[in-house]
Amino acid sequence: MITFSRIDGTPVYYWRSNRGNTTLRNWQCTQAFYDSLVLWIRDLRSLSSGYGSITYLVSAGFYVNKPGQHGAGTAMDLDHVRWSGGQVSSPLDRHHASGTQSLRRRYLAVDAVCRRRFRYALDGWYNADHEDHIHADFAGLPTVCQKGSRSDTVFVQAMCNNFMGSGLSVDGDWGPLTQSAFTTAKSRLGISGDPHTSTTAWRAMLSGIARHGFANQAI
Amino acid sequence: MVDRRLCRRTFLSLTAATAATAAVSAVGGGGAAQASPVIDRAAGPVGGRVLALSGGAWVLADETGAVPTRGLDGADVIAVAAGFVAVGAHGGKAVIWESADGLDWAAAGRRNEPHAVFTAVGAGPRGTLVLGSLLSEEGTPVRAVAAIRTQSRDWLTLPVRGLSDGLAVTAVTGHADGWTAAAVDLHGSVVFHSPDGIAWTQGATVPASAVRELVGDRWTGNALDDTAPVRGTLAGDREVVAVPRDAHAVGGGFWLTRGTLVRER
Repeated sequence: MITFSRIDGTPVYYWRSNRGNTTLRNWQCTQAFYDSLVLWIRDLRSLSSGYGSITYLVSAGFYVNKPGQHGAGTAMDLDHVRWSGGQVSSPLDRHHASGTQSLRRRYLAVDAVCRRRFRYALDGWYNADHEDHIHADFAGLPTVCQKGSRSDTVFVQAMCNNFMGSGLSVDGDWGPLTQSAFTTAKSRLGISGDPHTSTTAWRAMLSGIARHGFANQAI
Repeated sequence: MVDRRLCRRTFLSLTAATAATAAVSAVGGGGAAQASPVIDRAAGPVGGRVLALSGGAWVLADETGAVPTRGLDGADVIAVAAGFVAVGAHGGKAVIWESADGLDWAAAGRRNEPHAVFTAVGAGPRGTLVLGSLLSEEGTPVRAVAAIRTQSRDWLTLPVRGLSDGLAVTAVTGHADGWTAAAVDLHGSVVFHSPDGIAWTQGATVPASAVRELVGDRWTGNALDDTAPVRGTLAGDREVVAVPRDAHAVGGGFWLTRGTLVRER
């Protein structure tokens, strides 16, 4: 395990006991996970560059003394992202269910960037326990889109609804309507290759989703 | 009350147990044990030492050295309890192991679901209770499960009501009135009480702390906001423990810091 307070220079705060607190914290995770966090925040900076730099992140935890990925030091719970342009994306405030489309799309953009580097990403559509944060971990690598995964399926369904107005039920079941909407999104984003088997294709599709999300543009 | 017996009960051989006892004695004397190996993960205290993963193998260790164990190859041991009971998972299935000495282990109970894990075990006047979860494909807890060993020595599954299905239980302890368990969420630990291991009611919360061990009304663990080593009582007291700031609570007075087991100064 290593101890850190910033990811690639960006401070990471803790708000669960005191919202708005900007005291630097001593987080822990494995070196390999931290290396992926660096790649992740560089992806996030690049794909959201129109918002300016990332001022800070807020997390509910990385290493936590409990079973599973958190206990192994290979997981992150993301609560909030703040950019220098004043924009925020706040899973803590349930932006996945916001009445404002641009916030939902921004949430999906952050969600997509998490999925580029981590497996699994569990979001507000996954279950009630993840309504107020995005969990990202190392389990189940490599990153591809699996039709049998509830995590991937609800993300795809929510993405298609929020960017294309697909009207899908976000139920985690990959049926013909979800397949059709996914194929349309893949085509409109100009993705070649199979996101279900190719990490490169899936990451390219996630980048496309993120760009549209940060720009608040339909697909 | 009890719905079915866990499958596959096995027993230790007397020969293996005798040999293992000799090996444990060597650790205590500081002679034949491997000196201070790097500990990757600690399951918990057993017999005054710690069952720990070192270099891919489970060892019985303390701050002076370690000896290898047998019977846990490929296991993901999560917790141990007095009476030489270890719990965790193997091949995705929740498993209970038993030992006579902490060195030779054998599977004593196993659930058949493809994704499940036992995460806590505790002993008390009414037997030994094991708690865990059925898991989603993504590894998140979806339903609490339990097993108990009473005087019959057989492990029996228990139906569970009232434990939060989405939380992993990290500690359980027995007492005259039944059982107390702790589970970690994003804000701290949630404490549950049960007279029988079946029906649970939520009690106190332990803010901003991940409880790793419960002994009576006292707990040890790590802070959620900066992973500091902490301990306290269920009445609400909390203090930082005098061990290295990055130390992880193991239980039994042990802490794990940078691959080394330490005790409070």
